Amino acid sequence: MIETISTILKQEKIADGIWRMDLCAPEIAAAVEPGQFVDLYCRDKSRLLPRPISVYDAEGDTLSLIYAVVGKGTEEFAAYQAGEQVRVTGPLGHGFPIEEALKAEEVLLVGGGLGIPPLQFTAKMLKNRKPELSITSVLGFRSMPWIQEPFPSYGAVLNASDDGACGFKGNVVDRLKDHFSRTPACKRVLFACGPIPMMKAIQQIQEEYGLECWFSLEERMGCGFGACYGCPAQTTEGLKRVCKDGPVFSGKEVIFS
Amino acid sequence: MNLQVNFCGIDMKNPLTTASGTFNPEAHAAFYDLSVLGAATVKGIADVAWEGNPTPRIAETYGGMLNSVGLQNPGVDAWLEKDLPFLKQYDTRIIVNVAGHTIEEYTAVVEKLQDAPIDLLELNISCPNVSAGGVTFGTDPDMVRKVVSAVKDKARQPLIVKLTPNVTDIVEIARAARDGGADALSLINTLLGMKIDVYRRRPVLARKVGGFSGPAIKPVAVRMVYQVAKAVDLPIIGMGGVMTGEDVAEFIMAGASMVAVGTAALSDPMAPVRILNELKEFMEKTGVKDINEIRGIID
Repeated sequence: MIETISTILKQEKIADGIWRMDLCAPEIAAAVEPGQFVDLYCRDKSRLLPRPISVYDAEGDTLSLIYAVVGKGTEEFAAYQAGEQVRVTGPLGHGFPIEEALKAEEVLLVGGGLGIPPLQFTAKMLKNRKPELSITSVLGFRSMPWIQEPFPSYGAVLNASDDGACGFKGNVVDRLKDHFSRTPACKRVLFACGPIPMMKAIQQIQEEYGLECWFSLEERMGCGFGACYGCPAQTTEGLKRVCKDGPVFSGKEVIFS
Repeated sequence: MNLQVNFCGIDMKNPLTTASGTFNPEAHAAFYDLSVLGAATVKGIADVAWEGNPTPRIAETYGGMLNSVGLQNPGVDAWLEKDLPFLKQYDTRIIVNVAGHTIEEYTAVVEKLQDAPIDLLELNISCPNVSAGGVTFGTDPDMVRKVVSAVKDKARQPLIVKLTPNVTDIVEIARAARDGGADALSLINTLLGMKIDVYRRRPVLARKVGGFSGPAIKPVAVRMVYQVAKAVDLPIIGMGGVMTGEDVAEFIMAGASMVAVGTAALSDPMAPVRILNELKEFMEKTGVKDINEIRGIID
């Protein structure tokens, strides 16, 4: 666990209300695994709690985060300029089980909304470990995709959007079923990150399609490091903490309410 | 410089402890050596596992936060088997916060702790996030006397009673706890609060209301510690919004023997270490040689 003050290398608006912040955080960048997250702290002392942010990329000394402006805290972050400093702790939580994915014939990375950025880092690490691994990214949007690169460099990219603006009208689960109907069955491992209804729907088809699923959960957190019990997840083994025991849970274990 | 204090006949290396519910031994041990603590106060433990409340359980407010965790805990048997051995690796005193819905549930926990290697008990009759027990006991003086007396009867360790600020007269409740046999008092637990998301037109917390903590509540806590210390001759653990070493000194001057760090340790996991250093700096700067010399100095 690293607690540090990092210098912001770059801050860039990449879509409406969505920002990318690159930090100089060598120790965290070296240690972070796909699916883990970091906590960013506000400078405004009236805001006590950290904001958990997933990791879009880690390369050399640079840690890249993509976040949406959803409230006063993230509004504060978006106003930071390159050269300014921010307090960050991480890497936090348990990420996606990379070893399990490496055993698969096809890895499906399924993301919706702000669940997409951590899948970039996941795909990159999988490709680094096993260049011949078949990776299919299934990305869900409301309308036009706001993020694509560099997913095509890892394998097929299947977009889905609510209004059909990307060429496929429907949600990622419809897109997945469509994909399964066109391709022969094989050993498939699926990593998903996105809205709870999306992941719940995937869980409901995991047996039918023989998928080994892992879900990255989002919950309103307090401390972000396992102390306050503010972010419970229901599992077959009882309550667990999303921030510390997760955020990634097995599809066999997690119970979506 | 002396930081050692004696609390209910037990020597503590310094006056700092953790506030129950904001401290998790394994989670915090990833950030600092728990042996720096005068005592470690652990999260409320009931006789059986409790699931707690639905989510969202956390809301941030200006200079504070609301929680409606609802005393999620593994139950006393699992705690004794798994969590206590972890904590025993550290050189610190152990205070166990005891939760229950009924007098019988409280006494059941205390009985199971009779032979456990722990130093003190803290009776939680002040949690605002449960529908029975907790604060429903802590706001009625007769009930306080009754539950404290029943628990004291079974307790082998000194009994601290943790008080709620959600009352008109905290001194009356403090006296009732003393009359029931309390060896010490801790205050304050959280204030009952609420936050509404005006864009969604609904409360942020699933339970609608929750316990308000953090630096925003400190003046209320200092006032209550001061009032109780003046009126009741029992040692006090003061808490409520402690963020700095100066805050610790403030509670001690108001009459507390020990001071708990709560919400600060959620926003800054290493807060107790920093606060202890700041307390030493404060003593150095103001010429305090023994922490005990400033206790209760406010008239």
